[in-house]
Amino acid sequence: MKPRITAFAPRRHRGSFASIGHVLLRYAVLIAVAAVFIGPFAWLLSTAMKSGSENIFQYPPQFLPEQPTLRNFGRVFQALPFFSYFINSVFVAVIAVSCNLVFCSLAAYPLARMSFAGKNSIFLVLISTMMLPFQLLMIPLYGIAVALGLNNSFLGLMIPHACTAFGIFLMRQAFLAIPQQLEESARIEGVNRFRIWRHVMLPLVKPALATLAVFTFVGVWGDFLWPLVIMDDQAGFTLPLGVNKLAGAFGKDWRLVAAGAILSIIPTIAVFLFTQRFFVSGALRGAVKG
Amino acid sequence: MMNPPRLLAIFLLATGLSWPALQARPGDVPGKAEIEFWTMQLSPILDDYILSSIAEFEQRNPDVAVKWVDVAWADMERKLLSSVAAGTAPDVANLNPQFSSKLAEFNALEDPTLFLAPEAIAEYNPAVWSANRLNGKHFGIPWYLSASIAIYNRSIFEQAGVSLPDTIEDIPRIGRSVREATGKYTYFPSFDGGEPMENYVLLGGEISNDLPAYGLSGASARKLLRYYAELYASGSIPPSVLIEGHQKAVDLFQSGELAMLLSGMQMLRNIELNAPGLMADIVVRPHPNADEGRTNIAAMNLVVPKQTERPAEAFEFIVFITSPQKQTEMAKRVPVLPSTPRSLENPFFATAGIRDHYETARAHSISQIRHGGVLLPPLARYSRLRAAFILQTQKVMLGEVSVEEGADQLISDWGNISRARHE
Repeated sequence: MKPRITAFAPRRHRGSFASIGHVLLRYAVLIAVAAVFIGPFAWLLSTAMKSGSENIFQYPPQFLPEQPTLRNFGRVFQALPFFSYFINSVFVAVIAVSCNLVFCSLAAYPLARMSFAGKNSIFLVLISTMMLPFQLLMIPLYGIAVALGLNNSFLGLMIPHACTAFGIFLMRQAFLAIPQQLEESARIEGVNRFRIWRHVMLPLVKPALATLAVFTFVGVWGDFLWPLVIMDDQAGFTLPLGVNKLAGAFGKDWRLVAAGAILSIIPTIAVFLFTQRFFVSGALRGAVKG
Repeated sequence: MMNPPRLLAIFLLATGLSWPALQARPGDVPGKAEIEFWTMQLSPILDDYILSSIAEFEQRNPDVAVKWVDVAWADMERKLLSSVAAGTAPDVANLNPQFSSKLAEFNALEDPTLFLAPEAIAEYNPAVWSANRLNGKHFGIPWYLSASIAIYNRSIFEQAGVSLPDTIEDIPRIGRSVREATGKYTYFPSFDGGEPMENYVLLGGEISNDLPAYGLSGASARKLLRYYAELYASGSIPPSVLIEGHQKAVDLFQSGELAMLLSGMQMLRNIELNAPGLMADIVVRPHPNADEGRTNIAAMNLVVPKQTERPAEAFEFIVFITSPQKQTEMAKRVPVLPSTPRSLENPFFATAGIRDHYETARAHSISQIRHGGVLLPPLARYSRLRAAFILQTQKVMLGEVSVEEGADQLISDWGNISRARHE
């Protein structure tokens, strides 16, 4: 027995070395990828924390601030009505996300689970609209908003986000993944379509709803072009428009711009962290079932 | 997860409750003619000035109300085009001359000479006033001005043992020495604006709307292309000029890697904010070609789109906001110069007893505005002309074509564009 043990021992040793090397390599790659993604954010944070006496454009660049300070974050609040822009953004984002979840899941349900003439054509047309860049739609959309008297209003600002082709697509894929038997059982019990959507289908697609909520929130929160076009009054500005004002025409203080940008992306990170556990499974579900 | 009907009910309730907030804000003031006034990124620094000026105007004109909208510098074109397409263009807009001329090309702007009395027109800098003209019509009123001055990093020149350039033609020679001695670059002629064409004029060329091929001549084109090729070959300019714009020049100068910056005096504030240590090293001088009287004046215009229903009130407001007194007030708050020469008689603009870089820069800018002009007039089909000009310049810099081939192609391209506009 002893020789067999000695014979295996070195092999096991090699195996553990190989396994440690494998893990190290994996972590090295993951750290490198994470650094690529976190790098710009870290640089922004570093700029926001540099004191007024430091050269932002120093060469070679210096990542760590010489005299780290949080003063620039306070200056953002002095330079702008930041809180007011923040409230506007929250208001628009909450209503746009709520509308998108309700309307997209309502529109997706018949496309996934009902049979009617032209169903596939409708779905194709909806999907096709995803290929049109917003820049192309912007002017006609603005024309419609003006005709409806919605320019310079929050309602006009949130309407393009209230129901999206991507949301309908995502929710349709999620509904398709639910076994037919569940719905059939409910129908045998005499439950109508709307109640099936409400009580049977929606609880089963929570991950997809969370995914859609995150995507919509990120889209609405970071939207610059549409608010720029539709909103005239500064009192109605959302954060991207407001933070843009920090880059003044007669002097651009990059510390302030960086601090404003950091403050404005904190809610996006918070929403993602909050919905992370649903988000990954929801995104995968939408990706594999068609 | 919250019950969906409850969620929907809460949503409907929230929407219902917030309905007043969702609605458009009040538009016209009852009993008053409202004019909408768009500016380019003057807020928040000029909030007090603009709002108090509007209040003063409204007091003098009780029947008119002015609504001020401030738009981000980089996004004015998109917002204005959207509003023109939707028929909601502002009554007064603050635009740069090239975009103003693009709108004027489509006859989208009112001619101020039809609304302003000759004595009102006489208040404006004649060189700048006459530059706002395309196809025989004026299209804008000059507001605030800026001149391109030279800001040098003295320590780089001292380290290289060279003097400051007397004209831009000295830059390739000086730039080679700077590069060899310090490894740094001297100049960054950006391609994102009209600088190559302005340099064409600075080197002795002429550009005019009224001449065949816009007046471009073979000899001047060859001189310009040779100049850019020398700049590139001598290492005076970084390779990134081919893909990056004026902002990169500012960044490089602030990092201490560029020896000179040709820009407006407002750039000093940027340097002080972002590279405060550099302020002790800089020297502010007139533009290298200022002695020849061929320096550029950059103007910001106020225009009145033809969609306005109140052109008379709009021009009345423009005359008020661009008056010598209002422009002097503005120049005291931000680093710009007035387009009304009478403003310069104010003691604020006196050049005696200069104390710092800012006052030096203002004194040089005033002198250049008095003697300079708008080097690049408004051009029909400007975007296409600019694209052709930049393409050939870059091809010559990269050695893809010779100076002669580049110049021939450039003249041919400009000739074709010129002929096409008459067809």
